[in-house]
Amino acid sequence: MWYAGTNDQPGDYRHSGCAGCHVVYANDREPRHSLIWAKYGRDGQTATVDPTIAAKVDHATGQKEKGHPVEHAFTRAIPTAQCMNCHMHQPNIFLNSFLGYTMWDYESDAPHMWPAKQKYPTAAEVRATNDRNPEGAAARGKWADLEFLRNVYDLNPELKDTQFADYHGHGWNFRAILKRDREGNLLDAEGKIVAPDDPEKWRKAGEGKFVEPGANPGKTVHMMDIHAEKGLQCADCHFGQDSHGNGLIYGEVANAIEIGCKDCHGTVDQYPTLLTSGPAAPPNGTNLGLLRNPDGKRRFEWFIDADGNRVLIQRSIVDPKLEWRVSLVKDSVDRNSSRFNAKAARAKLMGTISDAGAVNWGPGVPKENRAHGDDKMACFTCHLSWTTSCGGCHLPIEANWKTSTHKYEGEETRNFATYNPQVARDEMFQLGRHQTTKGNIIAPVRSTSALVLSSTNVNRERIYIQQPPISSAGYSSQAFAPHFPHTVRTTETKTCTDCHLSANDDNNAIISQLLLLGTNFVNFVGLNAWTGLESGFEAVRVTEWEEPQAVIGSYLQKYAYPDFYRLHVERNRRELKEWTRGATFDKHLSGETDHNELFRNVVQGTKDRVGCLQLRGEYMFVAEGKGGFRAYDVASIANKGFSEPIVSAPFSPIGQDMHVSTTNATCMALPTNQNISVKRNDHIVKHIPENQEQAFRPIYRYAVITDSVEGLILVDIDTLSDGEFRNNFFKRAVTWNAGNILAGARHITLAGDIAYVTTKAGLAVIDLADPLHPKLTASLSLNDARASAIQFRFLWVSDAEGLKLFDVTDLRHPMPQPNGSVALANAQRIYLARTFAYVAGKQEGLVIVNITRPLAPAIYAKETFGGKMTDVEDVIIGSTNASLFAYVADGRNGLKVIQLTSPESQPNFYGFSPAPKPELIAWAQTPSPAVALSKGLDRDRGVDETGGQMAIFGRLGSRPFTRSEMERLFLTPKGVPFKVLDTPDMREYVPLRLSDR
Amino acid sequence: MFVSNFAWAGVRWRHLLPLSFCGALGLFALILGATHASAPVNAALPGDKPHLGVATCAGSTCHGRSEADGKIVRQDEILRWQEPSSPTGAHSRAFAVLNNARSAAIARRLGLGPATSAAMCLGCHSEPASVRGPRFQQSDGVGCEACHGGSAGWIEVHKTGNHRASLAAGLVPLENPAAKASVCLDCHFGSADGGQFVNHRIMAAGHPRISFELDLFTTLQAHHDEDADYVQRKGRTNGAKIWAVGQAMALDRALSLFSSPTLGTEGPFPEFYFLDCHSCHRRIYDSQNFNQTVADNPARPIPVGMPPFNDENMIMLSAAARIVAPAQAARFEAESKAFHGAFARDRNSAISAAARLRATANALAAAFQSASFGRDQSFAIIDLIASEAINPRFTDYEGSVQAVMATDTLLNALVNTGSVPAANAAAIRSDINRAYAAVRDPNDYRPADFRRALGSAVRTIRTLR
Repeated sequence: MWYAGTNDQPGDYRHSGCAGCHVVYANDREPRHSLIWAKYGRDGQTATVDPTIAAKVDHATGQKEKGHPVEHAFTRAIPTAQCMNCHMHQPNIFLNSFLGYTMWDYESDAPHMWPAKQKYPTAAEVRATNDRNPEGAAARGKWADLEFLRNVYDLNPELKDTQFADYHGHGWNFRAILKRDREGNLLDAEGKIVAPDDPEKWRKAGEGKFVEPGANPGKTVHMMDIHAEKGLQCADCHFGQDSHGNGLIYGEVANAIEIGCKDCHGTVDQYPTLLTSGPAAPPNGTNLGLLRNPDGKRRFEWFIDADGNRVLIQRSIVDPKLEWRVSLVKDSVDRNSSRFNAKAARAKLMGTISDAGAVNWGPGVPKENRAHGDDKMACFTCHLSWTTSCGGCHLPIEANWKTSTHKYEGEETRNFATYNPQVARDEMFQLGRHQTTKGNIIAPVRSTSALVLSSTNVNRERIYIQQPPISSAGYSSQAFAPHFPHTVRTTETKTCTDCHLSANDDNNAIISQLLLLGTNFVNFVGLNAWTGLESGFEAVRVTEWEEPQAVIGSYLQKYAYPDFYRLHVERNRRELKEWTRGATFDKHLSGETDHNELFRNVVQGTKDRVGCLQLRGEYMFVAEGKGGFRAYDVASIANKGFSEPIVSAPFSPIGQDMHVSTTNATCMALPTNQNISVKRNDHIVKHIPENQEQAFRPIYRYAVITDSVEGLILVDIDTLSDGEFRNNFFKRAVTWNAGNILAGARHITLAGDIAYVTTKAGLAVIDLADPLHPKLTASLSLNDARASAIQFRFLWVSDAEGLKLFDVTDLRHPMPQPNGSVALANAQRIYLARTFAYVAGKQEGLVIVNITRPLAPAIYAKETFGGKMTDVEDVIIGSTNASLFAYVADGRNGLKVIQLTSPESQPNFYGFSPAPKPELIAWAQTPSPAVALSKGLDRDRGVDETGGQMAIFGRLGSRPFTRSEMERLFLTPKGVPFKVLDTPDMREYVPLRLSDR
Repeated sequence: MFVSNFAWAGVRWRHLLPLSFCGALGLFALILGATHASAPVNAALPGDKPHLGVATCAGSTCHGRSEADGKIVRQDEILRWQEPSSPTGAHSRAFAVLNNARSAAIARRLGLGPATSAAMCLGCHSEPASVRGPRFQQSDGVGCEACHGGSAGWIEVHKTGNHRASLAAGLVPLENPAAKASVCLDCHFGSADGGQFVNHRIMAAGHPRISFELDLFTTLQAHHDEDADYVQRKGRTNGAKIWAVGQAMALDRALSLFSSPTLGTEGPFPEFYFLDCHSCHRRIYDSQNFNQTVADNPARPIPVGMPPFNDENMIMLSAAARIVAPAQAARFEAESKAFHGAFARDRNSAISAAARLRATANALAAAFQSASFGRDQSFAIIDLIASEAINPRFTDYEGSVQAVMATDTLLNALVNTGSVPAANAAAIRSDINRAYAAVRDPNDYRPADFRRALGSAVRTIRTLR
């Protein structure tokens, strides 16, 4: 706050220090963001008559100079727009969600935002743009132009996919979040589908460009927080202390907050006290009843209405004409109140489930038996409409980009990292345990700072690319945090089937997401798709390097890099070739604008077939048949200075040996593909208990290898991330094949402690909770079992007859579910991405099965692209920006890149699971048949099925659920699954007993 | 604003008592009072400066804090002023109450239009301010400046914390019992200024009775701690003195308004507001078994059947005068009796007698202001109130209520000055509560029962001596 604002782009004007908040600048024309200040525009121009300021003229335009306050006066009437100058940025809480926006991901309405003719900015132009806006993509986009940027909101009526905000902190664009169903269809307020071409989609007749507080324009529902919609500004909840602090230094922002929901809304038992109750509240709370507005009126005032009801009014701090009736929770659950809401009462007064699986709700349920008491879960667990779900950002740092920072003391740095949001979605709803200061109650969890980092040195050598860092706790830095997203709605809340098994058996993927088990949908594939071959493995270059890192041949490439797209389609006929693009010298004899870009597909030969491979951090772990198990160092894969970028030993082979020879290593699995270090975790758990970190489960130390002869082999691979490079010698920790049960083992799926191994006989289930002493828990016979994949309560296995379904509610004892079988000619590997199973169908191509209802699967498509994809062995899915991609190991046909959704092919592309519309966008030949793929980085998996945490949680004491905590959401105390409906049943209502009154 | 049911106040009083024993019960002294005692004090002073509104005082570094952690004053004064759960917050609710059904009904019966905009109501249910600052909110009811005076003149100097300078700039010296009584009585009895007189017609339309005792109500309203620096600035409070001065001032106010040609009569009748409600509001017996409920009152020579002037303050004042200003006691007794006699004759005689009585009441007030009101005097007054000398005068409800309040307030004054240990006073709480119970319901007032209850309480108090 002590660093002056940059005052260089629309919607980004501010001062510093006290004036940073208390002197208002014109930043946003939207009345719900600015109220009385909206009329002053978004150009930071003054409205004062004081000639010292008003007479300042921008000589280029003849207009009033920009970057001056509306009035040269302090005010307490601070609009949200003022806060949003800073709080639009991820590390600053990312409060765009309060206004119903998230970062634009470069794809929605791309035709309006990218120039028709590809830009080739010079280094100076890039620098000029990045000096204002750290987005790497900005220099290529239209919004690098200030005049375009300030008018982005004005594009809205013509847009098809989204709506943009009128504020542009950092020069960014923010897209609206709209109410959708799980398939991604737009919904209206009543929940009816709004057609993508409905002319009243954005504005109904008579609604203007901007709407007043209280309105949500158009047929669609813009998911701005209900408080924001009604006209509340940040300062209407965050009063003096929340903004100024209380003199104590807090380590976590959330701990410095004194306000809580119940302070104004009360609880089911009590009307609000208007005493603050948050972690930073004084012991008896701050009495909000004392607050007065600038006009002298009380901020909060109680009344009794004509019917004798208590009414609490809050008056706007910004607009003296605006006031709201505060919703009182107690009334919403009171059957005698005119404000009674059965759904609210049911949710809030629900009792815990009985042994027999019965539930009751109502005021007669004793407080201590409430399932959803406010001492057990945060109000906003249900009362949020959506959560920011950033699948990840890319921070590529470049040496020799000398830069002055825009914060602290403005110091200079030699290096500069652009800031590149990649997957910014809104459909993920996840739960975990809140931080200790909030009582470790249940709270929504969002993905935070799921960063991947790259570094380019002075010689423009990419010395490492897209590396997910490891947290100091040893967990992966694909971080999560409990989070109040400020997206409260009254109707668009979470309902019963968002957290419990649906009676319609249609939310298995939703619960998988909820529990942070991941959905394999937003996985990060990155610059290379890694495919296992019959005689090696290959890194196929599949994206641009510069930002945005578009997949070659994709919708995004077509708009962000039209020339490059054309070269790919027309020159290379969509083949991912080895070639060098660009010109050594442009017409100004500079290499800056269209520099040489080397595209290379790197092949590493192996002794035998690579049945399974997995990239983790800088290493590629490979099961290479008779070659055994090996880890390769692939850190330098994109480094032009390395002619041999994949190495088995970065220095002398005598100094290390990352190889274990086995008879026939058919497959391998890692407990997680996120980068972790068990050793760091050991240290922090033992020596820094105040960090309240959980210990890794023992399995996380190992890679688990299947060998068709030797059975199961565990190798300690943590040695690679212990910071000590002299001990990198792999050896077997255990070899297990009791009773030769694993003869012919060919594939393994790890679900935490549990290994599902396909063998000659069928499926073997092995418990590795004590990794050195594997225990067989089940063995099921199948006809030529091939591969398996798990999603929450179900496991799919491919065999000679097709897909077979097993209920794994009890992970150790799968129960066959014949209803879930799908007959296929030649099913191989399976990839489950939310509500679709992608099955490698050999000659049938890519088989897409709708598994929304696992017990009633439906074949959605068998895609061969007209006979071009007929030897499919394996498939993985990943998200890049707003689009979903499949990467297919197509046997003798090589590798295929398929765009599954794009704004062009699927208008519902922002849904939880939009139906895929496969388009073949690129392909690569491979020197031998492509048989396997390395799965993309899991960006939405924080915990495994057995409750083992793998990703860091960013608040002290916060964590994902343990397995038993997960089970409380779907099992009765007797261990039987219970199912719910979203409609309240008044027969379950228990009135208050007389004795309790 | 008013206490509709006195017993209700008694209940609250019990709750407050433990607090009062800790010293929170304000007792005022007269260090600064002397200079201002004679100054005319009126809530709607012509010289009253503009009222800037509660918000002006409510800054979180001034009087609007959530915690009473101020160095000089508590700084949570506004919080106490607006406390929704206690009588402390009554002033802040004064305007809001006009929105309720009872107020609407009163306004309807009187044909006033909405109560929230009727001058007749707003005189006391909002702040009597002739000039209002931009942040002034009528909805704040009786705000800070209603009692402390329009702040436009003194707020600047007030910020310096110099109390003497603030007084000089126009801050009302509420630590002076007479000044305070004058301010309170404007609404808690009535004044000649617009909208500050709850006449009998308003009560007939449903308005609650007005009942008041300065020291007790001071305590109910207090939002200050009498700590060392308070005493340094304003002197030590003496509850007994406040009580006595309050009685004298109340009588003065009653007689003065009664003498007013516009307020003293209503049509062919005297304004019934000045009379003792209970003297007329009695049960009617048409049957054979008539039971006279009117008791003879030796100090009130007025024939049965004629409504007497409300003598509650005269009774109390009589007790106070006998102990504290014995030289004037006899004159006061004689003049009160003469006034009642004149009241039975005609209005002109009554007005003349009232003028004489008023002068004596004012002389008593002045005498009380400079008197000491020590331990012995307080005990003596309590004793006297229940004694044979006074006791027979408790023939009507209003006077009896005053007697209980007096007993209570004087006992607390003894506690606050350290004359009676708090534990001992707490032990006789139940006796005082019995006396309160005897006046809980005006419709069920029985003089004999009341005298017994009061006598019993006073006997117990006597043991503390």
